[in-house]
Amino acid sequence: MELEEYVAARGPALLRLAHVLCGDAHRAQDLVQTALVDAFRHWRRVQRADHPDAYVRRILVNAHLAAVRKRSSGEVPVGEVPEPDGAGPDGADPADGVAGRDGFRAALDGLPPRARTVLVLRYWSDLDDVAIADALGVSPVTVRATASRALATLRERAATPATTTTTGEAP
Amino acid sequence: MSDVEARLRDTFAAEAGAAPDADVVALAAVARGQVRRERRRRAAVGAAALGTLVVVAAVLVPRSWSTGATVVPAVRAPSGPSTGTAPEQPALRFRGAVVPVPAAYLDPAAVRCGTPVADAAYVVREDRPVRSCLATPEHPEALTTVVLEDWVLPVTDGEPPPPATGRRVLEDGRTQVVTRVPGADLRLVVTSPDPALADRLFQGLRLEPPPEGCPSRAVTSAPDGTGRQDGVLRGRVTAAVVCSYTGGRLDTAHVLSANESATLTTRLRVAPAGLGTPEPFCATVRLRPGYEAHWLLVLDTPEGVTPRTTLHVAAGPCVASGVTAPDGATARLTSDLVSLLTTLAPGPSSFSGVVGGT
Repeated sequence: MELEEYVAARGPALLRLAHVLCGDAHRAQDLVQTALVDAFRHWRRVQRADHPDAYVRRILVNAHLAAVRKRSSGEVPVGEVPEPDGAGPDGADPADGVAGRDGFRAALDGLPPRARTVLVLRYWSDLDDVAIADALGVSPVTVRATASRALATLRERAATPATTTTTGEAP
Repeated sequence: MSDVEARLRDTFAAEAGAAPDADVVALAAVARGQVRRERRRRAAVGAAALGTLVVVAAVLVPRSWSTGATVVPAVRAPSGPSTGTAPEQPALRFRGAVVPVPAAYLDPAAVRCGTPVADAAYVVREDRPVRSCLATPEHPEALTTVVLEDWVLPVTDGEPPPPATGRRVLEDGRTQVVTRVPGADLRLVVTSPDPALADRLFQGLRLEPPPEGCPSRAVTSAPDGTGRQDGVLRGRVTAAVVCSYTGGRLDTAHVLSANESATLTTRLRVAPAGLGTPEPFCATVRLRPGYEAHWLLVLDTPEGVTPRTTLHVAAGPCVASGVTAPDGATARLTSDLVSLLTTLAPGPSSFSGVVGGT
């Protein structure tokens, strides 16, 4: 299997994972590019691996965490500002749905990068704790503890009224 | 599954749905090219190191045999600008993106009024001037072009939108390969009637860190030019780098050869002290950053107050044009100096070379 064949088959999935991890289209492409360079450096090892996907995913995840560590400014550039769809569930005020969703996403983005990555791998990639541990280079116990703390934080923040998450707004 | 877990799945699914529809195969091609270059470079460095070792051993081993001494070869620390004095490979360079091309592609005459009329490699940037004429090459379908352009360009009436990333065959039969240059906010567009040539040029893309001394971002305001009047340079200059900035962002950097360094030094020394004053119309008109040019001249000055001197050069009708040293010494920006700097490290494309009021 050549690099191009692998990328043609699995590249789009890698790009989606990168996008879910970092939340920015351009950064996702950079991340995939970095991961591919690293994967191609050790391509024979990737070819020989029992699970090439797991190998490349580990490279991608580590590249993401390294990039987050390096980015000290905390600046988050975005290509486009997403438009709210405005559809409120069950006839509710659409603004409530948008506020809730944005609040949840803000809470998610506020998690430590490693915790957010654990949640992405568990709830987007559907990996079990052993596979997540392998991707992150930690023990499954650490994964379980990290996920548990992250979920607790999200529950706590989701239960907090939305007004506390918005600042500078008139009541 | 808890409510939070369900929301997590929904949120991640929504983000995955917004993932870019990028040409991943192009990303793979760039990755392959980058790794191959790294391997070639390592092989070359290894061969050079081995050669050096053999030569050093040939010279030193007989001597140590005769004296019984242990000889440790000295290690020379890299010295900034002087590290890059090897001749540069012809390449299109912009904001750290480097695409090696045949030297003939870089001939400015190959592009007229923004239109290539011969095989050409050039930069299209956000501050480009409005196209004032439309040159029509005889056989555009025969041209090979390599273009680095700002990822986001202003929309101009009558011009086609920027090409999407990917590889395609154009209506005129040429192959076009387009990618976003990672981390540089640039698009690389390679078009050629020869598909193999298009791929080869495309895969040559690499990213280079700026030379030592050229910050990737620089302030565009010069130091206060109120210092001594006896010239901006003291002592010899042993090496020099010219860094060009637009809007505070590094555009190009050029490590000077010994001859170029000598020419630059001479022109700096003969320039009279002082700075230009902005044109009167600048009080009412606000020009785009593209009408100003800013350079940093990073000079190795072993006999100076500090071993490295950085001079700030500003040019444009609405800035105090001139050269300013860190200690406030100034030098007028002569036309010779401007023309040398724009040749070594071109400034913004719309910068006309107007130095400012005198």
